[in-house]
Amino acid sequence: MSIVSRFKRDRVGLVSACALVGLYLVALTAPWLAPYDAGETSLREVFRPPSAEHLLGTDQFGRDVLSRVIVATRVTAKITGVAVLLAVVLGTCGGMYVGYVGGRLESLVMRLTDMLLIFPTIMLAIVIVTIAGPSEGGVIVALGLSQVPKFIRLARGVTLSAREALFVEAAKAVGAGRWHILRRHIWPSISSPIIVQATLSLPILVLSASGLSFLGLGVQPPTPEWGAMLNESKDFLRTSPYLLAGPGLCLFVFVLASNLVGDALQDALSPRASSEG
Amino acid sequence: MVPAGLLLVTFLFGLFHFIPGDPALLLAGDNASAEVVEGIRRAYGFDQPLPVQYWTYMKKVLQGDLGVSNFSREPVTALILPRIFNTAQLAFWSMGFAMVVSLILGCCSAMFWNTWIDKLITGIALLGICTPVFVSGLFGIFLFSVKLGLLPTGGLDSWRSFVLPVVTLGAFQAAVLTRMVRASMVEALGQDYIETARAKGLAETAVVFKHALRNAMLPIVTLFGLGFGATLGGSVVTETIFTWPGLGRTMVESILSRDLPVTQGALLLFAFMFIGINLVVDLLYAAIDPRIRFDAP
Amino acid sequence: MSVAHSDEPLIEVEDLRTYFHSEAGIAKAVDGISFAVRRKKTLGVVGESGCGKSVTARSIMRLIRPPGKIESGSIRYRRGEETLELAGLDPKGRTLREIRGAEIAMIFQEPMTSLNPVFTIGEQITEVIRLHLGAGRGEARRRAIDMLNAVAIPSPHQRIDDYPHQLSGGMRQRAMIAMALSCHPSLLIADEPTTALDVTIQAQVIRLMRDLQREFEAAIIFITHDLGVVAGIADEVMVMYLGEIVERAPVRDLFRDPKHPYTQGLMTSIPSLNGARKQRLPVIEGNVPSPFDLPRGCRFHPRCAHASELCRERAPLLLEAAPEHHVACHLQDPELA
Repeated sequence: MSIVSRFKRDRVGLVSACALVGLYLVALTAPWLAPYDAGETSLREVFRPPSAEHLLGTDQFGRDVLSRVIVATRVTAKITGVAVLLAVVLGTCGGMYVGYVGGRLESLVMRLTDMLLIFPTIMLAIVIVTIAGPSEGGVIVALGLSQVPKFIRLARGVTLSAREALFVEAAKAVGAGRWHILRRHIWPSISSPIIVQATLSLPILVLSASGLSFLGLGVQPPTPEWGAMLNESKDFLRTSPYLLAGPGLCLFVFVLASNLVGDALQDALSPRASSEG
Repeated sequence: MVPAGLLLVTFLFGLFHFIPGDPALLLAGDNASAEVVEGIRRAYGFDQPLPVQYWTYMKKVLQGDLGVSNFSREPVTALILPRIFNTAQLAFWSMGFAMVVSLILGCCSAMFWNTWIDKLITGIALLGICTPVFVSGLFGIFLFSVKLGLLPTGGLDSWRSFVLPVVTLGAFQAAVLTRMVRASMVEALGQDYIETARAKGLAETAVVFKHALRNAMLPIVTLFGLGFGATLGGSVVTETIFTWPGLGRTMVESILSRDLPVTQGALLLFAFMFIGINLVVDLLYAAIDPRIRFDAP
Repeated sequence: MSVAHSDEPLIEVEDLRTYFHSEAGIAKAVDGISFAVRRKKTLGVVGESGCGKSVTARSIMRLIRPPGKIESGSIRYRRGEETLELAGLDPKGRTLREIRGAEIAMIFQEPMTSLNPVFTIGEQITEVIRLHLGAGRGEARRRAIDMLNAVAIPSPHQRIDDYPHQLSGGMRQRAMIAMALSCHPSLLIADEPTTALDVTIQAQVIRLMRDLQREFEAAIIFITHDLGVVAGIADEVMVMYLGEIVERAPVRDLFRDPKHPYTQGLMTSIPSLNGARKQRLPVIEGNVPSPFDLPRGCRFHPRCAHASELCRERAPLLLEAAPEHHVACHLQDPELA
């Protein structure tokens, strides 16, 4: 695996990969990591500025912001993770299938994806949320579907070029089934670009997920979510600006790490592009 | 354009029917009596067969009739038209800001490729694309409105109201576009014809800004088109942060209050704006690239 | 101009070294070469890809970009009464820009990619004319049409407004030549100008270049990997291998009596007229070593059939083996042979 070895030499990529893994570890162990119960309100402890007791202070209901930020990591990681998976599975299967069978179905699907790609992710997500309703499940479906066109395009492109390759012709001659050919012969050449695209989609999804929550169209309170927390903090900027710090910083780090990992993976996949760029 | 528009209207018509539940019940609200629901059903024509409903909806949209708001009872068209203008202003200024900044920074970065200037610009752009507008926007409000008292926290009253929303939204796009402009310019500067241009004795500025930029403009125009779409998308969030009286905020509010006719109308206008931008980009592209211009029959 | 001057070399390169620095080490692309070209003469530079012939051309034009760098040596250019040291000039400075395109012009290998696709042929030619000759728009256009006429492009009045993609490969290269010659340079550097063209067009372009050279009295440095092409145009030939000159001789002497084993190898690999032209020089055994890891002693010894212990130990010097015939090979050194 030359991609792995090339990735390993990229120090920035490696550090950000560690950061990303760290964030997912935080997400997995959130309930144990959080110093307080993220949902516990305390009217005697509202709007406490950061202190040794509450490192990031407390919010308007007296909840510990640090604990909420940690638990929110889990929410974001879950939403974006499942959404990426959804997009990858639907998009890759769809793209591989239409790319393989070709014909009128292919041109129809491609016209449709071209049209959908005109719209920014957040707009597509808003439309789908309108239908599915603002909830965690709704956001996952919305974000997942919004990324599907990208994967369809990518998977179809790679499938088209792989289809022409001789080894597929040979496999067909032996009498292998369609799905067998797709899985055994086309998937290997498609997996690396798909993984890179998935990583590149991650920061977009993180931003969109928290953006939706910020608008009130995503995860609903009292579930802690960075975007929703930022929206709530908006009303208390004058008195308690520290409420901004925790969710803002976490969001930034998550997006930064996933962007850097995506860039590094892309470089590792196509070293020529990186040496020129 | 026409098939896309048709598809869109069809989709928006379907929006009523995609949403689980009785559309009449949805419009009437949870506490409405059976008669009221029945009245709405008849008024909106939900009792008619689907093709008839579809035809009526189509006809109305073509006539510019997007229905009335569930709450204010105002015609949707009258409600959203003034908002479009506000959103367009925000998007145009932000995109203008983003284009100027990204062209300058992207070209600089490519010109000084792999030097500290390039690394500084790429670093700033990376930080930019990782800072969502609702973080930078809130920070901007905190700093310039709350702490320094220089700019209003929101609304649309004077030119000062523009500064924070435009810079917040524009800066994010500028960061995204700077990376792309740089990549296009680096690519163009690596081409053989650049060496030809240098061999001709042209000054480096002419090489970069005439020969390289003119070629890089092809991908850049596409990127700017996409960027303009993304700016419009981003305006939804920006308008919410700065309580900007625009289409995006109206749309979000209508979704939250389940005011479907307004949602439909807002989505329709947004969609037409995206399609329009895409069309302009295609036309521009043909105007810039001689290979497309001349190969077309 | 007096007779004495025309006999002085137009350009004189001495001990030129151009290295490329990278993480993998230093690649000595050009490593201590010396040569001179006189007015109206053509120097052919021959070698496999990677031998440093293109880097030599770009060093003279000062087009070497980082991580490449001219380490040492001099490039003296005779300009009227004065002699300029090109190697010492600021590569982005005014003097060099005045020389580039006006006095020293260059033709590149790929006419498709070397012409800017978004400007018409006319725009690209008039750009040089207006830059260096200070001509107005109309005057420059007239000159450009004259030049297109000179390079035998049919109906130049129409072709001048064509974009590169509208012309055939041969026509593009003619346009490139027209552009290079439009300011009547005293030195024309042609970097594999015919490689991308098919055989018939190749012959036409070479004939054209010879005719134009006579007309404009220019000196030419003609770079190619194809000895057959060199025979048709050069007065003197210089064979390069891994950044060094292995043999330099008047064209007739070189073809009659190639002295370096590498030149001999190249000769046997010249394809016959009707043979498959695309097969490039596989006749010499072995591969070109990496420029990062040059062999000790004579750089050619790993591929040389005659290599001795001496060749592995000591690098040969470029010595005059016959009148005007220089060769860097221990076998040709009278003191050692």
